[in-house]
Amino acid sequence: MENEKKMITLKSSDDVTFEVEEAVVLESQFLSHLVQDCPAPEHKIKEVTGKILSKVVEYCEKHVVVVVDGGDSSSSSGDDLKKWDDKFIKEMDLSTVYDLIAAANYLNIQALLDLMCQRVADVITACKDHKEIRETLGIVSDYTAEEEAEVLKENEWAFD
Amino acid sequence: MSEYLSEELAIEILTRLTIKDLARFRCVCKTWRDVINSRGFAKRYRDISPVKFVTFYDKGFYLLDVEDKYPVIETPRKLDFPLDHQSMIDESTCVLHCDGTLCVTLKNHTLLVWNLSTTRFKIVPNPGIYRDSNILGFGYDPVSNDYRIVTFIDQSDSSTAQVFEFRTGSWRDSVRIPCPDWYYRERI
Repeated sequence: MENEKKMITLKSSDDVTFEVEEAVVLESQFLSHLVQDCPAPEHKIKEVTGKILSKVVEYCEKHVVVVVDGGDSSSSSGDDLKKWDDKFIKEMDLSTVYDLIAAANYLNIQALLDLMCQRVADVITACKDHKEIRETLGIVSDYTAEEEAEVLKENEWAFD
Repeated sequence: MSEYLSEELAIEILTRLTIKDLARFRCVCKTWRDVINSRGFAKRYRDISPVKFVTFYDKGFYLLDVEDKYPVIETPRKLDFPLDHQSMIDESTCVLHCDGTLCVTLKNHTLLVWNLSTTRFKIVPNPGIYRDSNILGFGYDPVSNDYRIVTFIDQSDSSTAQVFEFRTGSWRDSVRIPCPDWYYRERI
C-alpha cells in the first residue's frame, strides 16, 4: 500500500555512500536546491567526510520522521526529539561537533547548526574559569603574564 | 576552536554565551578577546540577544530579560550601581542608552556612562550646564567609531552644541546656533 519513496544517494568526500529518502535530503536547504536543480540519482558532497555525513544523515532521518509523524502522535514527540538530540550530542567529542558545525553550515541545516553551536556554548559555560576553557577547547594563551593580570582584573566580576 | 572553525562560525557559538561567560572568555587569549571586543561582534550579539529592559527607582537599577526563556519579570536582576545610589540619583535623573551602555544624569550635574556588560563606567564632567531641562543625546558615531554625548549650552544670543568625545575624554564646541528659538522648550 505504501507509496514508493524516492531515494537519493549522497556520496561523501571519501566516497562513502548513503542512500536516503528524498524527504531526508530536504532537511538541508543546500541539498534541496541541489536536488531540484540537478535531478541526478547520486550527489557527491566534496566538503563533508563519510564520518560526518553519517551523523548528518542520522540527525536528518530522525528529525524528518518526527515531523512527518507529528500529526497523529502524542504531543510528547517534541520532548522525545529533545531527548534524542541530547543523547546525540552527548556521545560526540568536540572535534566531531566542530566538523558537524561546519557541515551544518555548508549544507544549510539551521536546526543542526543551532544544536551544535549550543553544545559548544554549554561546554564553555560549564567551565569554571579561563584556564579550564583553554584546556577544554585546546586554546593556547598568547597573553603575557602582565597582560593576563590586566584582563583578569578588568573582568574579575565574572569570576565568582 | 579557531583551528577547526572559521571566525564566522566561532562567532555563532560565542553569541550563545551570556555576558558573564563572554567576560571569562576574554581572558582565554588575545584573538578571542579582540573578537569579543569588536563592534561587529557586539552588533551580532545584540541582534540575537533577548530584548532587555532597564528600570530604575529609588532603590536601584534593575534589568529585565523581556524575551528570556525563563519568566524573570517578577524577579528582575538588580544591577550593581557603581556609585552611591542615594546621593547620586533622584527623580530628575534621566537615563539614555545606546547598545547596552547607559548614560545617566547625576545629581551633581555630571554624567555616568556605564557599560552594563563589562560593568566599566566613566564619569563625564559637566560641560557647563546647571539646569535639569537640558537637551541631551547619547549615541554612536560610525564615522569616528566612538560614542558621543551631545548637549547645548545657551547664551543670551546664541546656543552652542557641545560634543563629548570618549576618545579624547573632553567636550568640544561644535555648532554655534545664533539666536536660538527654543519655543518648544519650557523655560523657567
